[in-house]
Amino acid sequence: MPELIPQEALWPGNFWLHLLVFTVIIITFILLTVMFFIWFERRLLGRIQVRLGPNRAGPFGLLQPLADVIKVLTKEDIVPARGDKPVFWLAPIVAFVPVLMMFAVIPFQDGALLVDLNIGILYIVAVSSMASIGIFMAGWSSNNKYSLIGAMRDVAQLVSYEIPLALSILGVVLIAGSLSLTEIVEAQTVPFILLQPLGFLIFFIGSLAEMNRTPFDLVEADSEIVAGYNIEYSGMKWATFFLMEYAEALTISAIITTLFLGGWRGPLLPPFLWFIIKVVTVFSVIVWVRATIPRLRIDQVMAFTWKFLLPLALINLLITSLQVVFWPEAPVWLIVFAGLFIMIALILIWSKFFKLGGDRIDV
Amino acid sequence: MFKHYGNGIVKGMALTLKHLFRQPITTQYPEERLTVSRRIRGNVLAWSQDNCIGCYTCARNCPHGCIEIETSEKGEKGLIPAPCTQDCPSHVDAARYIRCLAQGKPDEALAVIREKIPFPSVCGYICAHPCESSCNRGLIDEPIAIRMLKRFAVDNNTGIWKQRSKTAPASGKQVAIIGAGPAGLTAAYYLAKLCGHAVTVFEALPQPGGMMRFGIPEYRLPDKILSDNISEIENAGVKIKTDTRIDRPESLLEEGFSAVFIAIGAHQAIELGIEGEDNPKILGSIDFLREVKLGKKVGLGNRVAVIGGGNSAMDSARTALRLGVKEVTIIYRRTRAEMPASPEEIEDSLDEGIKILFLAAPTRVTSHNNELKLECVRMKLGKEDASGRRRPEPIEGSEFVVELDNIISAISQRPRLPDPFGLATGRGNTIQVDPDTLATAKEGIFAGGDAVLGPATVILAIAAGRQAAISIDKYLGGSGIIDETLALPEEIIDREGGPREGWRPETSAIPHQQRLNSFNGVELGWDKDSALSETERCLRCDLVYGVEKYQLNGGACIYCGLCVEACPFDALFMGYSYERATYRLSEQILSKEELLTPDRRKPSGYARPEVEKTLPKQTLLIDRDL
Repeated sequence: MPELIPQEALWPGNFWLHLLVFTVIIITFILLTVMFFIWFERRLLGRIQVRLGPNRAGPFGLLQPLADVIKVLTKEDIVPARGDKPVFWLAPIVAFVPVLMMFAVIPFQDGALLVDLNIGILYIVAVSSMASIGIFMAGWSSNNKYSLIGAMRDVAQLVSYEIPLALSILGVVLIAGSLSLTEIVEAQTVPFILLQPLGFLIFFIGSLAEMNRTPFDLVEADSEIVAGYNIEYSGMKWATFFLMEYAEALTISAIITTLFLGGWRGPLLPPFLWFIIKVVTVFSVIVWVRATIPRLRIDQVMAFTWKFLLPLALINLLITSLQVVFWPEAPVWLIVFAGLFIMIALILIWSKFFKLGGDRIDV
Repeated sequence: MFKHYGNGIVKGMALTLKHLFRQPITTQYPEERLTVSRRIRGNVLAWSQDNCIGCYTCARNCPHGCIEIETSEKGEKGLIPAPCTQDCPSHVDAARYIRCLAQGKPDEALAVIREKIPFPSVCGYICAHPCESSCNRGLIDEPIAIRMLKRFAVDNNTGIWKQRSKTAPASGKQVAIIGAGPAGLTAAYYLAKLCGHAVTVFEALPQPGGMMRFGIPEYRLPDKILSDNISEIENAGVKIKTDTRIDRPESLLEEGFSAVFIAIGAHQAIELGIEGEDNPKILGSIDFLREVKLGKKVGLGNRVAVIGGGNSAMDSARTALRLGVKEVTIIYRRTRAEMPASPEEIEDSLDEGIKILFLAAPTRVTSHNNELKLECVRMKLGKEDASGRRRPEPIEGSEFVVELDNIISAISQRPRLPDPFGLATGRGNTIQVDPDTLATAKEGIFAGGDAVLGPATVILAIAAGRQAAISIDKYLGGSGIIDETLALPEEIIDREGGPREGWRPETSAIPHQQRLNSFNGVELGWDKDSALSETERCLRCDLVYGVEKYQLNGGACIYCGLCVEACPFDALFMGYSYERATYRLSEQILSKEELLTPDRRKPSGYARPEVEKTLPKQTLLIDRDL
């Protein structure tokens, strides 16, 4: 393995030190940020709903996540009597570890990452899907119809949304000419959100679906299937799923930042601060979407990806490929305007075609 | 499609973004405490071991059976007397004599009763039993039948208390008592027996007993029972002079008596106050009952109406029925719920075929060919008056006429005071006395009983007699101690598993046919088994049992609060959530919808400014739009 990483990138010294330092940094960063995100989401959601949100524990309620952690850790741990116990035990870990693994290739700033894989984005697409295995394990082993339904919805959603997601990433990869995340960031003299507005939109929507956030949180639709796959979980195991969800939100925010918002790049402030600011901004938008749009129905969710996102993603890829192959020196302003125009035109045109249930279902 | 959804999404996103910059609304409810989450993790039901006496009231009251309680078998005498003892005007230790009966000792029970009252039999038959009204068992199902237990003790005694009673040495002083009713005879008994005074009781009527004899019909209180009690008083050295009317109390003082106690009772019926009342066919209930008791012939027609709703109305009606009247109607201006007569009396009256006309009041009587026409008006209940009963109001144009042969007015009574008495009188012609000493304005003259209280109960008259005996003895230089110890020191018996569950045994009465044409006693006493099983229901409120286990099944508890309300000793109280619920019930002002203003331009967070003023200061009022 050591030859994967160029010697000059091993910041503290040798390979093992590098591994140790970055593992600790990543895990600490994820745990702290998740705690911050939980508090941040609740506060933001509260303000959007014209209330205060948590405000009793600590200043501005900042210690609320800590109190939640203590509560969750001291809770009784229940395993269903007829459940598949080993699988039940393993599921949270299987779900959480891939999320952790994704962070290995995300650059906090130039060179500040665990490993600069030359197939970084491919690795992320591959690993991010694995979390669904953990979720399905949880749903299956709980021996509960609601959790099984939730888990199956998750798998169906993942399989469907993974395709437009990957296709929209391809646009970015085509422009950057590399699969390495560091090189993608370095290629962004102009943030790719401007060059690939449609790709960004598809990626954003797709990742919302992949991390099961509103409006795609059918996996844990409380009103229909109680809590979905984690219905039988309690205590620390449940907390691990919760951690996984927020870590996934963090990772997706980081990936969007890296792919579309220019990663660590920015004026004046230090690069890693720019990175964190962008991540929090993306997360705020995710919360904003959650606060606004209600949950979709399962047929709406499926139709949306297959009939709307997938064709648009294919067309976007086609147009990007044509531009990259035939007119690589096109002026940036032209690409920006053309991209915006194409996005708006495509969305308007395609929404004319978009129907549910052969137009028999009135929505 | 896009127009439909795109617009919606864009509008929604804009709206949520706009909300992000609005001032958050926080409305703090006044009863919410400032600590975190008390209502969730706090003590919901708290139990205080210090106050709990192990009476099982809470456990029996719980509709879900959540409270499990185990007490020690041995009880100890607590510091607080039982409510029955406290609420008895004469403080007869009912809780103790019920325990004596539970041990199978009616003799001891009678001795306990005799320590406080000289008319145990009378009380056993007709006491208005304020003790039963205050009985804690009533919180669970039905109060202990204390009067019936007393009657059982009286009916089954061997007179052992007499051997233990002592008579005080003669003091050489003479006391005169006017009126041989319960108050006068009680005072006479204690003054003669325990203070050693020579007591003479003057009675205007041919027989002693007062209202007990002439106001209460034979079928409720047989004469023999009363005579037994009175002969006991005479045995104590009291001289009773019947057929002697005293017109001036001062004349007795001049004759050599050192003190005079006026206990003349309330023997004058109050007039109806309606037009045409001076008809000889309209009788006062008390006069009617007295005439019947004296054996005089009272000519009644076939249709008789009794006006009033008290016990004497019931007595008059039932007596009239026993005299052969075909149709007896009681006319009362309120409803059954407001009737002052005891519920058993009303029940028995209806049982015997007496009609009760509720919500009707007489307005006029006219005489017509040997026949009375009583004009009545229908009433409706209005607002509550000072006594807590709803005041009846006449309904215009609802007048109706009842044709009758006789009318018995049983509104109320007042003392009939001869003019030469010369005493200050108050409301209802009652004599005004010092409430502590019962002394009148005149030196050496005391007054008590119905003459002071207005028409009341036997037990109140007995209490007044005791009070008079104490203050007269003190006036004559005695100690004023009229308590005697007749019962042996109590041995408290063990109790296993709390008081018996269930209702009081049935009280039997003589058959219906035997009632109508005779004055035989209606109510029958209890046998030994009934009495014993009733004593087992007693909670023993004056004893303290050690509580070995007190457990609330939190899973089944619905926090209804019935146990808290039932606990007679304040040993249970609800925590935060319960208080909140009760506040909600009592103050309807705390509905959230009402608190938030529907008008955004209004600066206050409250829709009702008058409510705002009543709320505590800590309530935050944060403006909705700034």
